[in-house]
Amino acid sequence: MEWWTDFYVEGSKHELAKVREIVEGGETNLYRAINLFQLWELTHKRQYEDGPGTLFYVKQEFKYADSFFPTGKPILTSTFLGGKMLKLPSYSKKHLGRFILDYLEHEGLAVDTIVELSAGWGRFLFDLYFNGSPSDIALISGEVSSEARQITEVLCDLDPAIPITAHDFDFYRPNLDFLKDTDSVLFFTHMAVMFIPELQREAILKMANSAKRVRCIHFEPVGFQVLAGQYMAAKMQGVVAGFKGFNQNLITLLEELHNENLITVRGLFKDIIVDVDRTHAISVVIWEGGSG
Amino acid sequence: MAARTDLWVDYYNKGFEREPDLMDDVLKDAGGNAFRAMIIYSDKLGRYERHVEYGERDGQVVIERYELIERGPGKKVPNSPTGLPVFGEASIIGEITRISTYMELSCQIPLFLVDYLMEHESIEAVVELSSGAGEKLIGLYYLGSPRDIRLYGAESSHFARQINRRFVEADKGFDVSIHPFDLRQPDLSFVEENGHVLYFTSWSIMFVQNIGPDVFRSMVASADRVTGIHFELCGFQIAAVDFPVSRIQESEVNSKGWNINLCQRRSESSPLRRPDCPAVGEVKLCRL
Repeated sequence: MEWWTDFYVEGSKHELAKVREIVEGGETNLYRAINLFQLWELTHKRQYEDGPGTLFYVKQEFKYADSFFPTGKPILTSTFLGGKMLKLPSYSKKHLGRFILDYLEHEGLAVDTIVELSAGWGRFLFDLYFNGSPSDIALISGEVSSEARQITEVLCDLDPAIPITAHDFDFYRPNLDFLKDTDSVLFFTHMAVMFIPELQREAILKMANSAKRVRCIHFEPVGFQVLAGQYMAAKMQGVVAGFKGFNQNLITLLEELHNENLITVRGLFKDIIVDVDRTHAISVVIWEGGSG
Repeated sequence: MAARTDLWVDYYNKGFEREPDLMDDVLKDAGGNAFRAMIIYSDKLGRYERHVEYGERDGQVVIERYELIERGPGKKVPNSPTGLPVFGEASIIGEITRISTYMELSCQIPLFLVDYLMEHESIEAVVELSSGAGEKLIGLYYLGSPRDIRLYGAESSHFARQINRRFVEADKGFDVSIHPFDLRQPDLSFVEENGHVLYFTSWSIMFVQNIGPDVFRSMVASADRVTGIHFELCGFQIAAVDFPVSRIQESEVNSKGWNINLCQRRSESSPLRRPDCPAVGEVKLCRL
């Protein structure tokens, strides 16, 4: 089922038009361009009018909120984290760049390449760079949508020093040939595997064998797949994942590959990063592979 | 009363005095890029604890010893992939709630202000009073504040102004006009725009135990139309919404000699007696 892929690929066309509008409108500073685009994202959402091919963006109405900032945004959104209700203030931002840099430092890991798979326009790769990822680490986006890759390129053209490149990558037909002469690579995915109902072994194995040393961090809303701690919020996540056709097998697949000694699962942290969507509390799964 | 305020001013001045030493490393790590520099600077500061010891001399409270102590990932925290705690705590609209370490709240004020500026096109200048090293102003510019709005930083610490200037020098397209300013002896004559000016403070009035009327009079007199936005720890001063957690805030504020009068002593007709939303002044923003 590639419905979700089509949904995001179609959305990328609108996003590319918006980014071009910002840049062609005279914005020459990369960071301002990204942040102006993100401000637009904050206030708009994707919506289908009548099935595939009719996607458009509408202004968010925030009609379920009961109190607002003087800017018209809701003061708080109710969501869940670790199974408990949490109120998330508007204007807070997810900081995966900081997480990844802290993780590398904490583990004492040296990598020459960081790859985000299904990276969209590369939000978290830019976040990594802004947060101080050393300039000699190559930051690579693997992304199926050519429009999303074009957004990355349009943005990177604003700052020649930025070490980000975008390459074609599809989880349904995984090909990592763009990783050449890579010794030590860190992969990560953020809310990407969730849109692949059943992830194939081949995708993980290609990643695991793409370099001498491989580490991968999945940031995915798959806490419901972890049997321990089946609190109400996890059950709700499972129900929504079921009727929306989200991923059902990431945890069991990684467990299977671990038991076959093809990868080593190093950690599973259930529901530790919050998302605005109350059914999207993010779990973190870390595994290790490598041909070396 | 004044001695406690002086102590806090001294505390921050002493902190900024040591921070220019970090800037060479910060700008080097950032490859001379001001936005990266600002984020790396905030992260570096987050990795330091200000360790301070107070004493008493001639009946005045004084700082005896001040040190920056590095901390950060390295200590093992159970069940944490990065060495930092997975969850923290904050209070929002009277409730104590858990927060996620990697949900960044420190960008809230600049993002809020950019969003506000987009909806209020008449504003010609934004002035931050007690702007420190200028992180909010830098955030404001890079988060997309319209380029034709002039940004001012007003700060009492010479060292903080020096750090702010180094950020500004790192990016030719970025400009903040930086001036000496003390909330206790306000002089806003440096503000050149006189149409519509937005002033804001964040965690600065909180360190002045009793803020005098002069600072507000100066703001109001500085332009034809003035908007003030205060992001301050003053929820406990709003009697109309009295949460149990507000009493904890009040007790902490009293023990530290922080501000007690920003929202108080208003007349019966004052809009501050009945806030538009109970969250105003009560949302506690945390950088973890």
